[in-house]
Amino acid sequence: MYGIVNQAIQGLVTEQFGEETWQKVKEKSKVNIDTFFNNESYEDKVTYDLAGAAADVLGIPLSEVLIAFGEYWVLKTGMKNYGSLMKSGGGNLKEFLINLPNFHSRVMLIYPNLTPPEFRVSNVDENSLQLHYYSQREGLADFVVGLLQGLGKMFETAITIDLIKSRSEGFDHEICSVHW
Amino acid sequence: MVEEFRIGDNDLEKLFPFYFRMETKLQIVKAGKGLLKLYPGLVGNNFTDAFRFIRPSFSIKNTYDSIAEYTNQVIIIQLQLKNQKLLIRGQMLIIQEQILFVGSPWMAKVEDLEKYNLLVTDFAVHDPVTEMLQVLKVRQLAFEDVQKHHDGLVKANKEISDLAKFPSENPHPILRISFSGTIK
Ligand code: HEM
Repeated sequence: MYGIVNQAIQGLVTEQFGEETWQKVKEKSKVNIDTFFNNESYEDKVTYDLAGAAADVLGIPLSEVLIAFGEYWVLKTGMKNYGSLMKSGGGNLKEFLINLPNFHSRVMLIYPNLTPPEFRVSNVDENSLQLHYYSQREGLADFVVGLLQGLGKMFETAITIDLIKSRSEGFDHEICSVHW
Repeated sequence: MVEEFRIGDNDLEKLFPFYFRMETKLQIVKAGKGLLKLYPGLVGNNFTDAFRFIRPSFSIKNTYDSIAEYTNQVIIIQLQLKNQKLLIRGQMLIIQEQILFVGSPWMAKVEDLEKYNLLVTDFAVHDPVTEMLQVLKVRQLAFEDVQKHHDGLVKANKEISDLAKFPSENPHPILRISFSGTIK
């Protein structure tokens, strides 16, 4: 994944637990890279190793790391680096989610070698919808849950998220039922 | 009064040289000259043989009804020629029971133009794709400068920390003595 993703893990750990903890995470992960460059591609393994090491060092389950990372991604990385892009995604949570399938197509203009996630929305109602998540990558369902929580906070909208289908139980993609 | 405005294939091709349209069985009936330059025998072929969906890829199917559900999404398709795997980014639209695709080649670096044998004149006048590739090139060069600078700093840092170890690892103190013999 692009360096911005690894930068964000570094930012999350450093801001919330300090520089020393980040050094421990890096050591534990055996990732031997001094500086992550925003728009350089790194192997996915680097990201997974960093997230796994963060869980070990902090003594929390990986799912919690991924959820925290999702929130951080929207509220810090997204808003700080690409605030206008985030805001142009929609005027409220519902609009943003309906536009989500096109969102990374725009991001691909910034990161041409992106391997983006694929989203689809269905069952759109006044206060709920179902978000379908398709990906070539494994194990990021909790990241999506964290991202959605972050979007709820960004739009100051209370939301609940239920993962109603997932690949870990044999379905071919994830479905999140989102209520607000 | 609502005036009906129609545009013919000749004009459509000027605005979108990489357009094509296909009927309900996904047989391609017409294509723009940019696309035909890359794939001369395209007309008459089936979409399913000529292209592959890249984005969306998991949820879309090669049927008229499925494609019709994606007219509000960015579509990326890939040419399926043996030595030609160009990506084209655009949009589908249903017009008079045909599917119209308009879009433009989607490349990651300016060198790809040559690789795919494309010239600036193959693109529509309004199309910013070739300029965008130049912008990407400038960014890539700037990035290489930063990386060189970064590597230099890493090297310098290492030298500094090696030098800093010198006094502690050397049992004899280091003295600098001036010509007049006084210790500085
Ligand atoms: C300005 C905002 C955003 C930017 C710049 C951005 C960019 C990226 C980047 C660079 C990646 C790594 C993929 C790669 O390098 O190949 C990624 C992955 C991902 N993004 Fe975004 N993104 C943004 C917002 C969002 C939002 C709002 C969501 C969802 C609610 C989202 C969902 C995901 C997911 C799930 C992945 C994992 C990729 C996978 O499953 O293969 N992103 N994004």
